Amino acid sequence: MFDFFSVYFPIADISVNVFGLILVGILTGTVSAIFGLGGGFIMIPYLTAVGLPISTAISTSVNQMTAGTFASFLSFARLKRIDYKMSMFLILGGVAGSILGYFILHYLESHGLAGGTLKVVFTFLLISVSISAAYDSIKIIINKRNGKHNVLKSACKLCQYLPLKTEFSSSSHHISPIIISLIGMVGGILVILLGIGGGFIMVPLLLYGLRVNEKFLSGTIQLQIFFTSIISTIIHSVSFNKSDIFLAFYLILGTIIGARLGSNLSTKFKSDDFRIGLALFLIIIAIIMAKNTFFPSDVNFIIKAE
Amino acid sequence: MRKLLLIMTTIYCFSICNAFAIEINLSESEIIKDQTFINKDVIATFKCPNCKIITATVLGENKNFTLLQEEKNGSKLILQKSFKIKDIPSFLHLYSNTPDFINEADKKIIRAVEGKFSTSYGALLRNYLVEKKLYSLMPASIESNQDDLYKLSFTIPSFATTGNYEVLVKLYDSDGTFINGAKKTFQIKQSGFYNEVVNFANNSPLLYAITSTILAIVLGGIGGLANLDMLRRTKGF
Repeated sequence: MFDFFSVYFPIADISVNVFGLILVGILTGTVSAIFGLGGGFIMIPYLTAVGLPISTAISTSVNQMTAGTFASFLSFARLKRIDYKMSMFLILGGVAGSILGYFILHYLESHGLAGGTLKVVFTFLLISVSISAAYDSIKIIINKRNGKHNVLKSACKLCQYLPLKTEFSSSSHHISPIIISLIGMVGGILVILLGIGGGFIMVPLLLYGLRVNEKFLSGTIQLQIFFTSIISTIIHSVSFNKSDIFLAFYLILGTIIGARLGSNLSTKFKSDDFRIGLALFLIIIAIIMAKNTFFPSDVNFIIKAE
Repeated sequence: MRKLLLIMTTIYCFSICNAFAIEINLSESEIIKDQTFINKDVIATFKCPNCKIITATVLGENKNFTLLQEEKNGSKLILQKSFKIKDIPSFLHLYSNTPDFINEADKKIIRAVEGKFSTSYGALLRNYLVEKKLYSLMPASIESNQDDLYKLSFTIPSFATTGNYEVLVKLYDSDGTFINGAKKTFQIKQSGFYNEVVNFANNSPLLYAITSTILAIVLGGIGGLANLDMLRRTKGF
């Protein structure tokens, strides 16, 4: 019955159910718009599960990310929830990170280190971020019970000593653009190395590390991911594998609907709800990633016939 | 005397071959991989009166297969090694009306292919080809009815590569002596527009990447503007 909705995609060279693609697009678009994440961590496992080679899944997902983040950006811009100055520094760092990521990937591949090294580093990074988010959420819940107000203090003590401190509309205190560019750089590296927007590393770093106002967080990061996803699409297409333009179309369709739902929902979230929701999300992702890293399921192969 | 023997042998062979001449009919002569393509069932039929042993082989054009090892690890990709297995049939299905009878030509193909599958990467490719129903090395049965009409069927899965395919039917005497054979070809190709897109992506990857990015921005822009329009209507922004 479901074969009726299956469509053959020429670059991926398989038939996939389009309803599934649209649904996963909606889910990705919604989550991305609420939390400011790229959504690759939902999209890529789904695409590989339906039979796409991982590299095609990644480049197609990155292509979808461009559309999704651009749609979200327009919505957040209208809601005046983007810190353009911060975005600019994130983009600068992101572009530098993408180029750096390209060289890192080639270096790691040529030394046969790509698999294990990236896997472990990334998992530990994610676990530490999710622990920090969980700690923050527990504090919120305890304070709520005790009737106390949750006040955000900058968790990054070192950041206070960095030069060129600048005022940002999304933050109550001055922040050095150096640290913002470095966070953007992490996102840029991740988008090349792992095919994910890097949102789920950048969002907690900005939120818990620099205490950026969560109202501005999603829109600001979506703008950065938009630029890095463009660079990533081009780098992936030229060096590794091509995105499937037709498959991306259905994903984009769902993402746009999801972006609308997500940006609408995000206006209803209170600051504390946002932080607890994000923490829950990060913990789930960290558990999945840790399971895959330390208890690997299987090895996949791209098979190409020429 | 020699000439006479040669002429007689030729006449005998011709009469035998004619008696066992077969013509294969295929349900599809061309399979187009377009947007509706999922799997395609193909049926080959042929008439063969008094035939004893019949074998059939469906062969896809020889291709080079590249395996890129990658780790399936959540959303993460890490390409590690690549391995090439050259010049093997892209599709191989065997049939026989006699259990376990495999003709010499097919045995030769199987030996050659299995030789290339002897490495660990080769074994992975073998599993992939069998799993995706591109290879079936154990002969499947050939159905027949009372009118000496024989039928074999196979499915072209969506993973099948484009190219020329052939159905080879061979007849053998009860002692396994080859009598006659026939061949019918068919093609799997992508339709005009799909084909052009694939060629464009392969020949001009940079331009393809730029095109897909522009398309994503345009679609994202349209979606974003539609969302804004809805926001304006519902919330008055």
